[in-house]
Amino acid sequence: MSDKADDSKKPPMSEEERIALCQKLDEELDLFINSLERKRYTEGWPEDRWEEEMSKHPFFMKSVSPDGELSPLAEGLAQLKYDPEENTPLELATNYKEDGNFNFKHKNYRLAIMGYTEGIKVRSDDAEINASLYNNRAAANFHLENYRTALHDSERALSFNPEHTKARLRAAKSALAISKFDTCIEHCEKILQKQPKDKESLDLIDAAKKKQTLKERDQRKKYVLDTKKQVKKNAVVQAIIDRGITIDEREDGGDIDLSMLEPCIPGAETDMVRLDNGILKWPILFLYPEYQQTDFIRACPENVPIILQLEQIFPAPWDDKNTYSTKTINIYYEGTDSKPHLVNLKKNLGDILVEKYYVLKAGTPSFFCLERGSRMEKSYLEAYP
Amino acid sequence: MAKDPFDEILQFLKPDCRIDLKHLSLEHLLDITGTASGKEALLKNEEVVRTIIDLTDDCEIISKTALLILVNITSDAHGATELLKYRPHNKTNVVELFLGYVLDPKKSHADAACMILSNITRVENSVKVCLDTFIPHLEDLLKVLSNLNYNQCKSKLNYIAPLFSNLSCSARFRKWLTEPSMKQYPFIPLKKLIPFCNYVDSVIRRGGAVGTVRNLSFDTSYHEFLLSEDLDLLTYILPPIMGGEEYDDEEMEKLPVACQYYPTEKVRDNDEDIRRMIIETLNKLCAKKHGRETLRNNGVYYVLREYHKWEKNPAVLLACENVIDILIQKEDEVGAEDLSSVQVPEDMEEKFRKMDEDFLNSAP
Repeated sequence: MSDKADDSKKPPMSEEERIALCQKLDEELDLFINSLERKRYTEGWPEDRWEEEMSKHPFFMKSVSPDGELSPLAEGLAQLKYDPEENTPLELATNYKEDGNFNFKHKNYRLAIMGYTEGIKVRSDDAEINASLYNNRAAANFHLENYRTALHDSERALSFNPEHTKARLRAAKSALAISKFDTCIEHCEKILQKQPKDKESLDLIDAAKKKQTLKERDQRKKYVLDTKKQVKKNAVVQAIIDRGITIDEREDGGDIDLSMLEPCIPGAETDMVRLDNGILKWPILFLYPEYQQTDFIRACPENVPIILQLEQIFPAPWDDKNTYSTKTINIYYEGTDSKPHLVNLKKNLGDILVEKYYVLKAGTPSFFCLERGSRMEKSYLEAYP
Repeated sequence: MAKDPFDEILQFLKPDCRIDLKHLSLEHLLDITGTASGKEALLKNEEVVRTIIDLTDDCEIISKTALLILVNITSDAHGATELLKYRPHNKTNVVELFLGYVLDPKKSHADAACMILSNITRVENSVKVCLDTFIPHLEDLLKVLSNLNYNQCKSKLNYIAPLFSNLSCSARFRKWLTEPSMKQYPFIPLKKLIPFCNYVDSVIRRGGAVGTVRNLSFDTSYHEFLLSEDLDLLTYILPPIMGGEEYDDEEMEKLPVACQYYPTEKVRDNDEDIRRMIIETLNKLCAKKHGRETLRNNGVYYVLREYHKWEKNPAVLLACENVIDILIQKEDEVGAEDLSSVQVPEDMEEKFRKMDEDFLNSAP
């Protein structure tokens, strides 16, 4: 009881006593700490791999793990970013834009386009973000060489911001890439109205004008060459009509056109009858029923006796009995009367074609060749009614 | 002194006079200026001329006739020079007044004002006098010429082209025409003018453009510029002398791209003067080696070969032959670096002149 009373009457500390007391407390604390067990801090990231560990944490992730899986925390954060409930349209659109930009920077243009498209779908009222989204999507498309889409997106960007020079320049470049020269020049001239010395626009206009001149020249060239071809074709058809050659027509009536004169033999399309200095030159076919052989001869002039063509052929390699020659064979054609007609070998090809019963089939005069007086010839002739 | 009959008419031309009187009087004066003597007589009365000039600012029906009278007056050199002496109020000279009309999109009958300016500048000495008035407005004139729908009252303003052609006899104007202006794209004024060498809707505009080019070609210092790739002059001056003729593949490849593969329906320019001016231009461009080589490399020889078969006018044929003769030679045969500096001895000159005359006179 008497101790208590003593405490309350203790005098205040002097300065020296205070300092001494502080020092004593510090020393006691040091002693205590040093007496504790030295334990390592294991809760945190290891010192040597702290960056690696950090990049796995959803708060600090820079990229997603290869299998695309997100930890629930990361997923939750991601959803928060793109949650329409949590963001205004502008914030949402901006977030999508950032997402797109991120992929763009890493050259994942298709992913970037997806991001920008989502941002566009938000339809925020803010003109600037929309212009930006379309402009960036245009750039991504441009890198993917989708020039038509790039042009469309650039022009959409311009509809939100007509002063967006980058978008307009890209529109011009895209237009040039798809040969829309007038559009390219239009955009360039708009740029030049504000920046009269913009070198890129000036160069684009030059390039567009040059390409346009070339395109027009090529169109004129095609027209001239096509007309020439047509004139040649018409001349051939007219020559045939003039000579009065009968053509086998499957369709009723109508004018003769060149399709009826196409040879039926595959590979012979280029050998169709042609007109050379007023002389028709025909592809002709000789058929040898006895040996099941044929000979196809190109460009036989109509003013040459048919015997001369035959002289080029014989002796034929398949003629092992050596019986076929211009003196020993008869040649026939099938007439409009469905009967075989013997050909006078000395006649010119052209004269044969206008014989009364002669009919031209598939644009290729064809003749059957048989040994005169042979059994083969007899059975060939008897085959006709 | 005998009373000048024109003084009487003055009272009907006063600004506060009745419109129908003004109109009738002006129509009467217009008829008078239809003859040479009438024009001379009218010009003598300064007061009347001054009044007519003032009336060009009156209402449409009055200004129209007033302008037409002045067109007639300026149609000859004397009238053109006389008119330049007048100073309408607030303007330095008549040129400024008419320029104002041309540049005013709402001025009806601005075409007539344009014709007057063209007439005035046709006199070479007048160009020196009034060039200073034109210089500050040249860019505007070019802009107006290029904008086919500039004038809202149906004036086509085609006569700006011959105006330019007339002005091109001045070195200062040529300088403006061929140097980059900082104000608008395309920077070189000539670049905006040369496409009109092919402008089918107006022989006046076309002729003015071709005339300007021709005048430029008389100055050899501009040849390198005229034949530069950037200007692409041949693309514009060859088509009027080309028809739908066929060229070999080799020859076709040499022609400027825009001149290749014309359809058979293509026709040459039906104005003889324009064709002649183009041949003269080509002739001038042959003066220097660089010009000759450029023309050869662009197949101009082939074009002229075909043109020579078609042209009927003897003077133009002769000019054409002159160019062909130069182009057909190889460069080492030409013998002179710059043909324009070759001195022809006087007696030879006379001989050549006589030969040309004989050729022209012998043509059937």
